[in-house]
This record gives sequence, C-alpha cells and structure tokens, in this order.
Amino acid sequence: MSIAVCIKQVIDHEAPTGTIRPAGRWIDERSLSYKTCAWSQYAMEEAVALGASMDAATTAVTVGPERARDVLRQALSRGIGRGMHVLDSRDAYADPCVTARLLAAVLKPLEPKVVLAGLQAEDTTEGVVGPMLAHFLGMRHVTGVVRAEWEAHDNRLVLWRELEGGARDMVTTTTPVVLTIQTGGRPLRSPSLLDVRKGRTREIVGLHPGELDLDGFGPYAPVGTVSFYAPPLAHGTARMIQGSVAEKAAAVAELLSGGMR
Amino acid sequence: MAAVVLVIGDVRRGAGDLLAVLARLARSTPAPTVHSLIAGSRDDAVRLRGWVAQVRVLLSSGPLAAESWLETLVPWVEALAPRAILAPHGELAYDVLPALAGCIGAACDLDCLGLEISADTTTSIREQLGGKIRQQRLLPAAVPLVASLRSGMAADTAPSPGIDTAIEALQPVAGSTSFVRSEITPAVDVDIGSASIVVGVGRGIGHEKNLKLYREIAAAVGGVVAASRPVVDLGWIPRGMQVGQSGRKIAPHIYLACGISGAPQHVLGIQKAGTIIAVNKDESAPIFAHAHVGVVADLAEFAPALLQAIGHCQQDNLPT
Repeated sequence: MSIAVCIKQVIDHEAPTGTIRPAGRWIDERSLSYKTCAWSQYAMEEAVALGASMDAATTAVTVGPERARDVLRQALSRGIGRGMHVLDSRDAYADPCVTARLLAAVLKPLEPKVVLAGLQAEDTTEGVVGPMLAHFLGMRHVTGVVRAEWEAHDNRLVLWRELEGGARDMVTTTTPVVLTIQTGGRPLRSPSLLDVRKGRTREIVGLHPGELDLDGFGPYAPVGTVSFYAPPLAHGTARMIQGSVAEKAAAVAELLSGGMR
Repeated sequence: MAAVVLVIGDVRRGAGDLLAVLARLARSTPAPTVHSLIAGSRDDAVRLRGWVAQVRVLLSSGPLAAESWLETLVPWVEALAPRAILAPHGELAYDVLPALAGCIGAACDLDCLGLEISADTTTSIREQLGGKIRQQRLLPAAVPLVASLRSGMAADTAPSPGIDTAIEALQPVAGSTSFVRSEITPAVDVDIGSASIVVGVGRGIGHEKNLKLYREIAAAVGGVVAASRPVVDLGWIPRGMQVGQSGRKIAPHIYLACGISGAPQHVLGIQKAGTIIAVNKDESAPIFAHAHVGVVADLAEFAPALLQAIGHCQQDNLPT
C-alpha cells in the first residue's frame, strides 16, 4: 500500500530582502528567496502519521526547478520514505492545471490509496492543484482537512475539515482519496540531526516532464492570457506616521489612549 | 443574447455571500441570465426568488460532499454551457470548483477580486504573493471560467421584481464521503468580539515570548490581544482568538495590527473595525492598503517604545 504527498517550494513573499516586481507573464524572481510552503509542511506531517497508521510506503512529489529539491530533502528528514522530483525549469507562471497533470502522471503508476496536498500554496494561493489532481486520477477528494485518522477495522478515513468561522466538520470517507490539508493540524516537528542523516540515505527520483505519460487525463484547460501587474499603491489611503521610533510610538499611543477614553 | 452564468452556494453557510455574488451580477451590464444550484431546503431556494431565472436545490439537512455536488453540476453545466460558474469564495469553492473545472476543461480562479464578462472575453483578477501582485486572466468567450468571488461584500442591490424564478428540488446523489457532525471552536476566556481595542499580532512579532509585551500593551489601553492564523497555527494563542475568514470577524473601535502582513483572509475579519492602525517593518506589506494609519517600524524597537509612550500618555491625562 502506498500514500503520496504533493509538496511545493514557494516564493517567500514576506522575506525582508527582495522586491516583488511584475514582469508581464510572471514576476521577476531575481533577488527573491524561497521556502517550503506552510501548507506542504502540514501535509507532510499528516502523510507521515497516516503512513504509519496505514502501514503504507510514503512518497513525496514536487514539481519545480533544481532548487525545489530542498523541499523533498526536508520531507525525507521528516520521515517520508522517498522523493520524486519533476524537474520543471520554466521561468513562467505555472498554471495549476498543468501542475496537476504532471503530478497525476507521476502518481498514477503508484496507485496510491491516499494523496495529500496543501489546501493551497503560500505564494499563489490558488487552491486548485489538489482537487484537479483528484479529477485527473479519478479519485474523490476532501478539502480543508486538519486531521486524518485511519480506521483499519472499517477500512475508512475519519477526517476533520476546517470551515469558515472556526467550525469543524467531521466526515468519513473511503480510499482512494485526495485530501487537501489546511494548516494548524498536527504540530510541525523539527527533524533531529539523526532524522536528517536518515533522510539523506533515502532516494530522490528525478523526472523530466517529457518522460511522463500525460495522455488520458481528459481535456486540457486553456489558461487564456495571464498577465501580472502591481496592485494599486500599497499605502492606499493610510496616513503614514513619520519620525523616530519614539515619535511614532507616541503618536500611536495617543490614538490608542484616545480610543480608550 | 445575455450570457448565461451558473452560481452555486450553500445558503445555510453564508447566504449573504451568495446574495452578494448575485447582486454583483445583477449590477453588471449587460446583466447575465443566472441559474443557481444550492444545497438546503425548498425554503432556502425561495430566498433566491427574483435574483435568478432558475434555482435547483439539492435537498439536504447537512453539508454535501464534493462528489454529490459534482454529480449534479457536471451534466447541468454541459447542458447549460454557461460562460462562468461562480461561487462566493469559501470552503464550498475550494471543495467543488477546481474539480468541476477539471471535469469540464475550464480555467479556474479562486478568490477573485474582479470579474468581467463581455461579449467576446471573460476577465478575472486575483491576488498572489500575499496581495503584492495581481494576476489578470483573459479568456475567449468559448472557454468557460470557474471562479469564486471574494466574500465580505454586502448585497446592496434588491432582487429584480421582473425575474420569475423557477424552483426545482433534487435529491442529491450520495457518495462515499459522509458528514458525521459539526463542532464549534471551544470558547476562550477572552472575548475578542466585544473589545473596543484589539491588538492583533502576526508572525512579525518574532517569537512566542514576545507575546507578553503585546498583552501588556493591550491591557494598558483596556484592550485584548488577538492573532492572525499563522500565530494560532504555531500554537502561541488559542484558536478562539483568531481573527479572519477562518476565525472571528470583529468590529473594534481600534484594531492595532502588529507584524501582520495583511493576507486577504485576515483582512476579511477586520473590515468592520473603526480605525485600523498597522505596524510593519515591510513598507510594501498589503496591510497598509487596508489601514487608516500606518507605521513602518521594527517591532522589536517599536513595541517597547509604544508601551512606554502609553504610560506617558496616561500620566499626562491623569486628573490633577
């Protein structure tokens, strides 16, 4: 039995260095830094836990350029059994439909019982790849899962879905299924040095998109013409307080004290 | 001929957001012919009278799984050939729309800020990278767009009295995913919903140990501390004190956002705040676009200075 987790390296748009600049069909990525998507991290934790309870082999898959291999190394050091890297070096907007098809082509031969993915990615916040992947794999899906438990005696998964306003729904489902994982479920573990060493011994398989069999995944969604531009002035109508730190603090303190009176 | 648009929604969860989508379509020129698929009861369907030409209601007392929605949606979309299939942004959109787009070979954009359906093209606008960049997609009329529209807008348009709404009730097809029960986030001692001053903390405060300082700031002005989702996910603050789409929507007199980048999901929770004061060291942080007052500063320096300054303010205002 196998389960898989789809993970992503994302642009760190909150990094102190690097400016996000539109560049027509995508953004100028020079000067930007990257990190593992928060949603991917929670998906990895859920995959490790499910892999243990289902006694299943775990595989992490990512699509991206050479640098994206870092997220696979992280997954392996957290206890995922194997990594698969679809090397996609296009310096352009990656349409989620294209990514979902590539992932489907990698995953189909593995016949996974459960596929996990982040609810969305931290950079593009699209939320499309997971359920679209489910469609391409002919699997059902459940989104926004914060906790998944395998009930072996009933051969089913018990899932907690997070909803707006903080409510949670408990649902049950059967496999095979794609789950998209919301943040805040199982606590994120920091791998020990030993975990990192163990992870280094595990295999990462490199694949090129050209090697993948993309036939048979139904109609391809045309992306249309996608362009990127800077949002209206970030400061909007905000009154920006200038001066030294003490002067700024005094001005805010005055506003807060006024609000209190 | 007016464009055909199909709108889906779960009226029991966010009826206002569904009506806001319908109101937005009603205001557009030319207004499209709108059909709707909802989950709920016949009475729920009646609430859409005057807004849509036809409403089909999937009769259910609990939430429906994506597979139940898709069983009805896919054949209907294929027969109706709408230009766009829309939903208010939220859990239903995440669950149903991307898979629908896969099934019908459509483009899919969730959480759109803008949508325009003209005779020849469909244009959608959404944010990426925490609101620091905008994406525009231009589709030819022949390609359907599946999209969710950012919620939080009030439905300020009345339904058209001229539209006769046909109502049809359907039994949803049961799938392999079953709803068991719902659970509300456990209440916390601090009610962030009724406080007049709320100090919101984000990841930008740096470390859990720094929370003490923000609690002191809040206490000094008679307020409470609340948090953005990442801080709650880290376990620094209970989930009941989370502000935003997946937390509480609050309306304090003053909201002081400390180290909060201004993700749209967070901003949804503070739209009704009287005055939003944002402090962030990143001058391009999207929170400044929503703030009334902005301070670009390093919180490690600013927060202690603020606590001290509040002390001075209060001393100055003491009755003599």
